[in-house]
Amino acid sequence: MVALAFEAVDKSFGTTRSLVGVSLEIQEGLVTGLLGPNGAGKTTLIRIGMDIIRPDAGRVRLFGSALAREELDRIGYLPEERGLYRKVRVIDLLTYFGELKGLRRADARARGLDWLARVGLPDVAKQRIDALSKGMSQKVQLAVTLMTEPRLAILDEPFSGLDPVNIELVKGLIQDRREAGHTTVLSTHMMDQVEVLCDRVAMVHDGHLVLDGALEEVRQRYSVPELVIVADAALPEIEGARLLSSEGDESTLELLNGLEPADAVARLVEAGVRVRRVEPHRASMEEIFLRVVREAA
Amino acid sequence: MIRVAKVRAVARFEFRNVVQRWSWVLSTFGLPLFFVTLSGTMVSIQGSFLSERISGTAVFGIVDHAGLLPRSAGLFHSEADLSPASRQTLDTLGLRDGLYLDLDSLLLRRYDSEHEAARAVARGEIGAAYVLPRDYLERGHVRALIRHGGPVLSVRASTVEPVLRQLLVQRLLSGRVPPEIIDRVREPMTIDRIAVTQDAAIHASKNRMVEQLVRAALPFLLGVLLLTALLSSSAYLVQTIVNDKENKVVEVLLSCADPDELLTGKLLGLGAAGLLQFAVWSAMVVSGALMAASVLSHFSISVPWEALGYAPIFFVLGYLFIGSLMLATGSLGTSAPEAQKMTIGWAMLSVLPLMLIVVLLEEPNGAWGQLLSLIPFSAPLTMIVRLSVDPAGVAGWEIALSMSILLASTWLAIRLGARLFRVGLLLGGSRPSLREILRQARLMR
Repeated sequence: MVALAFEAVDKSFGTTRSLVGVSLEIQEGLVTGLLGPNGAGKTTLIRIGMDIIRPDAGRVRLFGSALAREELDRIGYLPEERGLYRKVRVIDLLTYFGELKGLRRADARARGLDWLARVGLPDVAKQRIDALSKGMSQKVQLAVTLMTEPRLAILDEPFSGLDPVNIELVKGLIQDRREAGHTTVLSTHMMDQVEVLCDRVAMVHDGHLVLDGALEEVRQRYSVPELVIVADAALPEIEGARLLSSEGDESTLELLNGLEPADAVARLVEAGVRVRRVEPHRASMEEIFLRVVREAA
Repeated sequence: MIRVAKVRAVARFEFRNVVQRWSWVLSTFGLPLFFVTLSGTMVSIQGSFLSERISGTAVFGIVDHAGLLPRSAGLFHSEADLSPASRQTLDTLGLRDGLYLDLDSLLLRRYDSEHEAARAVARGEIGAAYVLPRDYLERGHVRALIRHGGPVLSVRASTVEPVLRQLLVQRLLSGRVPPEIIDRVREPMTIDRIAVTQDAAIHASKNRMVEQLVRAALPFLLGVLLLTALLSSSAYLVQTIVNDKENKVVEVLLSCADPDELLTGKLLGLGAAGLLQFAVWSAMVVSGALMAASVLSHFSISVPWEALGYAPIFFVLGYLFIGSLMLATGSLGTSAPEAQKMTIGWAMLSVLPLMLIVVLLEEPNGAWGQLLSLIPFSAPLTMIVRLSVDPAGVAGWEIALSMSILLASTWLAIRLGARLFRVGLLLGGSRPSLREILRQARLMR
């Protein structure tokens, strides 16, 4: 089922076209990475998905229906531009936002306390926000976003400003959501986290959707016919392949004219090479990101 | 459709945030006490000063070239014939060997020449000197010699001239008309004012002056308090929007609630704080006025119940109207100073009745009063002043019409406010052009 669908969405601000005919489906129960360079239109797309701003053209559907205010209570949103009321106690803030998301006051308070414990801040409930460190504030904001266990969570740069320990904590929370069957949209520039966490990726560039698909399928699509071979001797020249680089016992071989990896390895063995390990090349998300941006430019 | 639970959550949060601030607590409870203490101290210092000035003996000079105050009339006495207090004053001033006309706490020292009197004025021995020229009878002119660079306001100088005027009247008429005619010329009438109520009952006042003062002061004070509470609540509204922007919580808020719900919640929460503030101030002013009136003259004054009864309604309507406009325009500002600049126009419009307060107090139900009651910006304050001064003169339909216009304007202001509010909240950073604001507002529901 589709959790959130954008259909031919256009949006301009003044003379700037932020989104041009963007159509994208966010699949339910998966983690989708929303990628793109700065100023590509990701935040505008997210804001339209949250009904914070309206598109000039096109439409948005949430869980199969037209976007309705009542349904938005089922979305948790962590904006890129972080902010909390600085002079308010942590628990009062969580209770307030819980109520705004449709929880009853007592329930919001209880869940707030529970989520403070989940993000590793069980003792800050009565402290004011301005007494917390930046990282702690960020975790409080994450608790605000996820405390209602939203069916869809949109997390814009959830790792920024966090240390490695807390990055692991946030990754754990996102994985927990997937196991619970909840949908997460992850907008981030940390491509290594995308590779670990996302099931699908979509990329926006200059207001256009330039990439959309399952992570493995996309990586496959952008992978080049190369083999990394670890052998006990230098590789000889073989037909249908070209040596790209060699360092120590590791060499990279480019396969030409549709030569299959198995055939390439067979030819090396025939040439007397003892092959210890063979790895097909898989494009990293960082490579894909850079390539897509360059191609679009 | 506005969701009540969200509005309630926003209202409660904003109300608690404001009433827990020290600035609110101080301005609500501390400010009136501070004001009363300060003004009481100032009034008593000045009262004591003036009372000492008026009760003490003052010396002025007189030069009579008109022959109206001849030595032979026996009006002037030497220093030895004066009271000990007067002699002490003369000693203090260094005045010796003169002739004095004793008019209670006022001594007129006789000088034979204008030059001599002028020197006494210049030396500061006397407050001023009055010269009756030879052609006084024909022209009625009197020259007053005052010290150059002397005090601008002299209480003593303002009391001597009426006394001198009466002395001249008496001297002009003495021996020519009967004494009782002289008395009537000196004081043609004293007026006893007696108020007649609507049912022709006579309301005798024991202290007309105090009653007049209280009747004029109460509406004025209530009006000022209403306006102050209204504007301070509206200022809190602008502040809360600026805080939302500065704290960068706008996007999270808008992802949780509709702009209409946020705007209504903020209006209600901060309005409740403003209403509470107004109630505390009103209670303090009314009870203070009652106590003051009771202490001063042991008479009871009529409390403007109509005004007090309608005040909360007009406060709420006025606040919602002006608050919506302030919230909308304030949200377009990119910083606190800019937001305040953009909202100052609304505040100025609501102060309009205070600029015409003399007209409203003099003729509360006249054309100006009626007109200002129908303009949404000025209606709350005008109606409260009118209902305080002359409640019987305000027709029921006028109150209803004023409220209806205010209500309709408030509805429009909230609708407009909600649209601008959403645009203003999202278009952070640089201020958008009017065209862009209108375009984005059209896209909103």
